[in-house]
Amino acid sequence: MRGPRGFPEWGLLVGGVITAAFLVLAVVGSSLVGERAVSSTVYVDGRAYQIPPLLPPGTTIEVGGLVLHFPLGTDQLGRDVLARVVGGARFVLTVAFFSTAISALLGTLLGLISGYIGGMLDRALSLFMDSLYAFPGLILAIAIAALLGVGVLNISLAIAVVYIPSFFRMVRGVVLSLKASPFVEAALVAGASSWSIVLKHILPNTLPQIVSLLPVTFADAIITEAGLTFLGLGIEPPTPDWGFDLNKGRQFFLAGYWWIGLFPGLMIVLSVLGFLLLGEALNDLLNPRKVEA
Amino acid sequence: MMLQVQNLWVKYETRRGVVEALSGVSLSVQEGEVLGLVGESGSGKSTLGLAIIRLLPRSAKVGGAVRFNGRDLLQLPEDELRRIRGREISMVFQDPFSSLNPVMRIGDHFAELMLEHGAAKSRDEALEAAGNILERLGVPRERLGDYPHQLSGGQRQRVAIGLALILKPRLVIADEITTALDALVERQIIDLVKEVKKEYKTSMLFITHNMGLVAEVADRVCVMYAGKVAEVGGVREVVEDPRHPYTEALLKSVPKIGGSKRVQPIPGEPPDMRNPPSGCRFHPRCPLATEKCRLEEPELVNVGGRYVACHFRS
Repeated sequence: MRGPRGFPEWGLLVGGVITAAFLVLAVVGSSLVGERAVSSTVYVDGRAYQIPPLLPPGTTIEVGGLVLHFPLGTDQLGRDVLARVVGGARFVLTVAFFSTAISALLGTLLGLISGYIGGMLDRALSLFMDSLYAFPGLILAIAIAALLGVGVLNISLAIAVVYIPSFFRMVRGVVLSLKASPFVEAALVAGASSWSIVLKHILPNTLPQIVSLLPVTFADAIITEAGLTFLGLGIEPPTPDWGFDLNKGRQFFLAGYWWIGLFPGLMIVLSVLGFLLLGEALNDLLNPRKVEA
Repeated sequence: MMLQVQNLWVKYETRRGVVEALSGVSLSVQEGEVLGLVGESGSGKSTLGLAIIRLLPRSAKVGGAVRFNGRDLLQLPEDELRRIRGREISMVFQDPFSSLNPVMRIGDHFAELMLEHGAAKSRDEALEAAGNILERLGVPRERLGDYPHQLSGGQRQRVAIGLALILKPRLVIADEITTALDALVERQIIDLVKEVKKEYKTSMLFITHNMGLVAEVADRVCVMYAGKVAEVGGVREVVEDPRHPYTEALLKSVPKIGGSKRVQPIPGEPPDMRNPPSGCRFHPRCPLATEKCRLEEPELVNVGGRYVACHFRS
């Protein structure tokens, strides 16, 4: 077997590995760290012990005969930073997943309808989508998140609204160019109904573009989610979350307790990097014409 | 009379004026007959093909009548028209590289068409029939599992012909089907069309700019110029004894192997359809043109069994 060559293949490999690692973390992370992510109390033989707050990374302590390691230290409430960082993957990635899925589904559906039917409907939808697009993403998400309140689904919806226009615009553009293509005309001549033209002839041809937009949107959704929870929106403490912890850590950073905020911040950067690499590599591999042109 | 086009007008309103693509065209196709439709670019021959099956862009204004087995296709509601498209009238396009869906297998093209029109009960039944017709058209049955990009241009056009024939339509509109192919493949496709004509006995509207091809495959020929019919008649008579000066010029512009005469280009260029010439539309380029041609529009009149629109031949 030959090794990877050039950016697309290396990007696919590195991005894929990072992405896969984060997905595994999201699925098993919470159960792996259990209570340690949300509580600073340790029970030994029915007795409760408090873990001291603000322990630096690499500390080892002994409580009631039990030896505990804190490779990334503890936070201002005595919770294990490593446990919070690992446990935090679930919330953010679940939200990123749902918001990407919702925006892709709605954006694609509306883009298909708008592009295929055209006319006044297309004008109205395009105008609406463009005004959404023109709005700064985070501010829009803040407004909707504040309106909807806490919860995975609510925050996912708030973020999804931000990305619907990207899918809408892309799909609509492809539909407009495909609508006039000879094979669609040939299908019309062959008596195909509008439904079968849209679903069998146009939609499958938009898939490569949709697929390459998914990881990029996913990465962006992670940042938006972190931004929202950084501001304390959409999440209920003590649920572990990178954005939320980053903000808490920021308050202790100047006092010298750098580890509380640094590690959640690194997780955000690394996960976004992984998804972006994957997205760019997929884009190069699936839509090669863009590179040649 | 299976297909009868009566006084068909097609106009486009553009920002720079009204373009008249077809100005009162009448023609007919009999059962089992191949009618060759010839003309230069912009003569309206492709517009006519699309107008028959009502596939012109919405901006086109269409007038007249297209009678197909007694019914006027231009007045038919969309859902009834859909049942005619593909099933009773089918079409083969110029470019086989883009007239097949790149993400659908060849077999799926057939299956979709047949299931949509209820011509097959299952996918397997459709693929069986598709394999049979492909083999008759010289494409191996295994190609059903391939995507269009895996086929050569000639094979794709054979597939497109197969798609046009599989539902045994009454009329096939073939719009410049060999223009995008190289000379060798063109020959094979033309031979195929001749075989199809013998075997299926489908009527065909064979649109081309190549007089030579028409002479080979058509029974009758209709020469179009600037959105009007110049001459209609049996292919033999028209090719051997053209009556309209435009037909004559068109024939002289076709190179012949071994011919001693030089190829003669037609002087001038096709008219601007926003502002077509007065009188006979060919008069600015016609060697015979007189004052009468400039002022009076010639009628299509019967001249010894064929129809010619020229003041000098009536």
